[in-house]
Amino acid sequence: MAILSLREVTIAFGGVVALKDVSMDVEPGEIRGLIGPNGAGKSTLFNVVSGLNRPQQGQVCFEGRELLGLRPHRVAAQGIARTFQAAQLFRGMTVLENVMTGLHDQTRGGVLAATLSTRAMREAEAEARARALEALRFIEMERLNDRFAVELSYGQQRLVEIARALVRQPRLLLLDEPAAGLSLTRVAGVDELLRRIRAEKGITIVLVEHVIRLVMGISDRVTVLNYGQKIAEGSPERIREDPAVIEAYLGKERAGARH
Amino acid sequence: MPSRRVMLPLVLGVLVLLPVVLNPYLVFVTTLIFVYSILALGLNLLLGYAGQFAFANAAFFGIGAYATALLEVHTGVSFWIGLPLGGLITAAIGVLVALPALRLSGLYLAMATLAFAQLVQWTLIHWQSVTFGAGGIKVPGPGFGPSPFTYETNVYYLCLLVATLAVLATWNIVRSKTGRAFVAIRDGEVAAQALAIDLARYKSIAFGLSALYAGIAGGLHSALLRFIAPEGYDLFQMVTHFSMVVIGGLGSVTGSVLGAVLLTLLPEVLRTVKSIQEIIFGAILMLCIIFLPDGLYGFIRRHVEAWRETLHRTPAAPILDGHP
Repeated sequence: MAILSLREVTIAFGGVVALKDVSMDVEPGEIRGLIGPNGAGKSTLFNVVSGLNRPQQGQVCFEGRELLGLRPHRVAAQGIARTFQAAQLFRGMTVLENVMTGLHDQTRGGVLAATLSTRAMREAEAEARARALEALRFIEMERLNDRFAVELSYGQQRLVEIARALVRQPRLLLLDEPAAGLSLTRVAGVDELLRRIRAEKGITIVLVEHVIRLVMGISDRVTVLNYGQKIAEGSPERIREDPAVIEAYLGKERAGARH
Repeated sequence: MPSRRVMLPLVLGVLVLLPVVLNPYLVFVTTLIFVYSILALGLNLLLGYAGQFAFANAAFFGIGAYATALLEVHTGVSFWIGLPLGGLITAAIGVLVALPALRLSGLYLAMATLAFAQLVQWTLIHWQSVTFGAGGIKVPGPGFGPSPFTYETNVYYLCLLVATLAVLATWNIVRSKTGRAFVAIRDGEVAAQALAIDLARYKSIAFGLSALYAGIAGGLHSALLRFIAPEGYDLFQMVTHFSMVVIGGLGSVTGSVLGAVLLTLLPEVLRTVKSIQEIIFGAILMLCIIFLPDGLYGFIRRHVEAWRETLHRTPAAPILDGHP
């Protein structure tokens, strides 16, 4: 059974149709690439899955349970983690605290326990700290745990955001352009990191990415969106030769007729 | 300069001995600093940590003062029952205010909470059968049993105790998952939700906590003054609280207390130059904002590494950003 399944999802903002009748099934353990020209609806699709945007039509199921109608924090609690197109770390926190915040719903202790700093509370904090450090070790950034998020380079911020998602031990990870703005050597690092996430943690990944070489190299299957519609889906080899995909990417350049 | 571990017991020790050497006026001013510290800590939780631009703190302060005093006057219960009850009533009203406020942010939240504050002011003045109106009301205040000290000194120690507890409680809260949830909401609501943080829940908690602090501070204030009137809890009062938190340092426990110290002492010191008191007061506040954009706490942090607090609001993030 698919871990994530979209059925004929349609969403429009005002008159602009961002997604139209999009269906897609992501299998457990898969790395799925999601590509398409700018404005194709990739980020909107992520926002629909995370509960930030509510589609007018369609169904979104995670492990067989309907997600539509759940508020974003409830969706996250189901076991879905995500990163954002522009890294969104919390500025006032250290790197370690950012990652610990990822454990929000998995750390026990309410306000009263916190106020009294009960023993159970301190133990829960220590455990959260240990898990966060482990996640930072996984991305090889544990040296930076006491730095403030704003002191990091852009690439480092993206990695910390991934650690903050990973620490939640999600079953589905939505990555929005993890390689954007990175140098070529760093892109290779992202490639290796994604492989390790799947191999060592068994997390299913949906990946939106503009660096085509990265997507094609790592994805089991690729879904292509254009103007909010799915125009192709299949193995990277098939996608590379698909005439509709070639037209979507190159046709624009050739004629400029669509803009 | 020594670290917090050394400084805090030291400061506390000095404060315990202070009433022995100070004259009654200075004991009163120091007690006022304790009350304002509690207020500033509460407001900082809501404004500095959770990033909610709310203007209801002076109203909560007044509700706490009146709830405590009116419980004493109308039902005859002792101050010792009235104070915690007044705090809880204020906290409950704080959560109620949060409900409509959940859908608002930035300037809209400021406007809505300002309207609430005016409503409270109006109620205190016009609901005369209960509040005794604009003329104010004499407060019985607490009895201290066998304590050998004067009433004023007893109130001093009571306020010192509660303020110390408030500092410790705030410290514990901001370093817990609740504190991180507040800061996450302040620094990025969308990212916070993606980490399973329930915005409505934690905004309500922030409102409730800050109202609880303000309510308790109000009850203590009524015991300190032994007379309360609506005008003591008006917009000017709100501006004072706001200045304490901004000048002390948004998102800082140390800053809250320093802001309370400065903004309580300043008007007292400036009494000597009565005619231009407000002008100098305003000028000093402006200089603080220009030269200490991240508050007194920011100044300390730059010079004393051991005093570094985390979760501080970084100055580059403007307060007024409404969320898209």
